[in-house]
Amino acid sequence: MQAGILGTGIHLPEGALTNEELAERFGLPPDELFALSGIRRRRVAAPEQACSDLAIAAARQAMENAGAAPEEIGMVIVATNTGDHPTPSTAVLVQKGLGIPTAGCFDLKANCAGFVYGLMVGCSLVSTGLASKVLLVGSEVLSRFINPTDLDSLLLFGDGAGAVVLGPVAEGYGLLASEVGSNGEDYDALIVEAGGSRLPFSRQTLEGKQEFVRMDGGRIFMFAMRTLGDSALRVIRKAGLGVEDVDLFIPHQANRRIIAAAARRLELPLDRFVIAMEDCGNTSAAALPVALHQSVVQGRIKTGDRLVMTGFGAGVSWGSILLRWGSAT
Amino acid sequence: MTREEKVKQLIIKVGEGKITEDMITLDADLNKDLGLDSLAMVELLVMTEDAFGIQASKDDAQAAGTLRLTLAYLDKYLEA
Repeated sequence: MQAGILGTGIHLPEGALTNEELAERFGLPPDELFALSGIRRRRVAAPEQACSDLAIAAARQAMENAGAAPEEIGMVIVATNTGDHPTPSTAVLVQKGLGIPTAGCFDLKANCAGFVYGLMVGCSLVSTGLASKVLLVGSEVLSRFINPTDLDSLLLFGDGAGAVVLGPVAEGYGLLASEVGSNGEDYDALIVEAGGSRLPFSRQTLEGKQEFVRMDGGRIFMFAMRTLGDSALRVIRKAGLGVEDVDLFIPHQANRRIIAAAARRLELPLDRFVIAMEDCGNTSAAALPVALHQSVVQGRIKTGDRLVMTGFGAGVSWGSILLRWGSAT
Repeated sequence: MTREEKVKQLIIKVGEGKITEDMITLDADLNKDLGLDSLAMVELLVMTEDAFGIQASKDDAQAAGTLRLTLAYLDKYLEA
């Protein structure tokens, strides 16, 4: 059985951190901040909002657009790095919030590539008959994990959620190929050091600001620029297709510069890539479903289009899926 | 195409239309004179590695701030 995306939804918090505010705080011109990132503002969740709140709002919209009732959902997967609690999973809070009865629920952590991993797993559950419909959400409240003095991280990361409902689609549609990978040698290129079993929170970790994201920007940029193109090409070849057969590339919305550099490296025009971070920043596991939903709403995707979605980030981990849009059964 | 011409083409490509061939002298500073910022320098490194099939060390790559220095590190890797 072929599995694909039946509906999409997003939720972006209204609060935002603008380039003008950052420029004032760090004494830099706002234009320079935009040139470095392609981002004008990054969304910031309200103090009372947690990961599941954003996820539930996005999921509700995706289920409406898919025409999926709560009782049809057999599995809830939340791709996130910033769940409500270390335990239990954020997925059970989403289940509770949406009134989904007795579905399997779990969180998936593959960092900024989490949504691609989730698509691969969710479509496998549908295509093997283990779940008739799967709710997959990417949701992040990264603003709680950013050092307020770290411009590199403040510049990029934002809060938000995107969701899809996965289910059966007609033959020749839906997920056509996927490829994922990781290189643990670079596990420390982007890391939150404290708060796990290796380094539990303590006065020392708080003093050292080790509860915040720490990123080796140059190393991540180099990895991302290579991986975006290489992973996309691998999944296209795996599907037995060529670059010319792909209608739209939806890359992880890390930084406009990464996408532009990858497009130059692939010798493809930039207008074949979705760029959707300007108004919300890099929302990690939520970035791909947010970009996908916005492309659907803008009419950039029509039935029969072939899309390549590529995620990459901490781990370092990456993944691409190639799918043909539409034709729900 | 010579090695020098090939690197010049890569610099022009990374420059996103802001760099022309006549601007690229052997000793023009890629950052200060030609305006390549830190991300563009990383992109140039990746493009150079791809084009010549090498993998440069971080130190060598960071030291390559001009066309002359880029050609010098290429010599080191390609003739090793």
